[in-house]
Amino acid sequence: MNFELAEEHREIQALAREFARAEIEPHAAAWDREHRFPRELYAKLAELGLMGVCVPEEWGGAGADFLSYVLVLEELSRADAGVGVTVAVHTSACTLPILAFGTEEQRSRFVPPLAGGDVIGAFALTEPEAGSDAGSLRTRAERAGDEWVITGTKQWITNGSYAGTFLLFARTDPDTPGARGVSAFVLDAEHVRVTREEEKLGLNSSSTVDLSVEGARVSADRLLHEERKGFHVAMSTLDGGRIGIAAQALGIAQAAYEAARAYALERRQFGQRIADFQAIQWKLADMATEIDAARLLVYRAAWLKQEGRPHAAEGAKAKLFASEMARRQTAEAIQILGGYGYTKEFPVERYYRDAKITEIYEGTSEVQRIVIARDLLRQAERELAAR
Amino acid sequence: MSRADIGGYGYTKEFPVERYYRDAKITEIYEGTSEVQRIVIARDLLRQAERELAAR
Repeated sequence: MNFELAEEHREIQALAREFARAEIEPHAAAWDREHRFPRELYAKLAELGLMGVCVPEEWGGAGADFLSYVLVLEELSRADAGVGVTVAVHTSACTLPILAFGTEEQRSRFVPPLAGGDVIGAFALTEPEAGSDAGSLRTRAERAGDEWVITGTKQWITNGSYAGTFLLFARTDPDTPGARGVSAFVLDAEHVRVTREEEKLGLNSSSTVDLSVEGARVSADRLLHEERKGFHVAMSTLDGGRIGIAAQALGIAQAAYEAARAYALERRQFGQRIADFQAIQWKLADMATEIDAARLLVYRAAWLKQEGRPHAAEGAKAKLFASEMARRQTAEAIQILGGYGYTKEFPVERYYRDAKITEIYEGTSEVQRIVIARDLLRQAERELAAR
Repeated sequence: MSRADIGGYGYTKEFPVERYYRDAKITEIYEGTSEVQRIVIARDLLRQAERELAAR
């Protein structure tokens, strides 16, 4: 067992960290306040190869591994979690599934512009009536000769206002309710209409929209993977995507911890630094411990994925723990800063608002527990049967 | 109903629960932080314990 990051991992981590410190962190508070999507930032990230970190070079990416990508998401999210989710959805929820399930033609058409950052990607699964129960989605795709005609509405689509490529899920078999009647499609911006920009508790530098697809006609080569296998595409996408969201939660918690630690060493009350009070030391110790535990879970899940090993339950464990940890510890960071922590003078109130969503999207904590429980029960049954 | 119970909707401005989340945090801070409340409680319980032990 080896807990040391490899040289190449440390290099890409340092690259992302320096970029985030110089180009993201100084603006994060303003982007949050103004609800501004920093479109120009993504061209700069693309120049560094950070819009396609784990995409092979032959498809226009940086050719690094999945752990490198997770390290980048952690660093970006530490500066601004809105930037973190934009890159996470673009990469693991749009680019990677096209790479994994696309034909050679689809890969060479769609992947290089995404991996090179010329085009931003989005993932359109959720609908007003289909959240955790994604298999009940109602958007329909009907065959008309060589084309598909797609009609429906999608909700909470990250990157929606800025994306050029949408991985969109629709029911191709109206007679099969549930997940088995769903197929995946690759659409362009011209095929969808943004009907509303969502107002959220946090992640204000990211775009979250409602989409309407109104009889969009696309050719047959827009179907990704096989007909009626869309739900498999969606679930395998989310298995990997969860690791990215866990890294996002980790980055937010790390930022909150650093702010709290620095404040505790600075602030004096009752004639001493508040860091000298055991009550504050315990909080900092709990933060450091929980962040370490989350980091180990996240890196292990990333490693399993890049090794091609099963990682659904391990990714779910990483996301469950890291997101709940980030919600708890960002609240504790506000507590250490006291009244200051509740104001916009310090960034911790933003971390607190941003952290909450990590318990909800790419599968709620409740869904993660279902994934973990199914896996452990299946394993127990196998073990008991083998006795 | 808490934020978690209504899922993604709870994170939006469409429902009031995201406001409750923002509003609630300060109550752990002003008029004495939770840490100060614990000092008040601990002082009281220790004083009472001393009294009870002394009366034995």
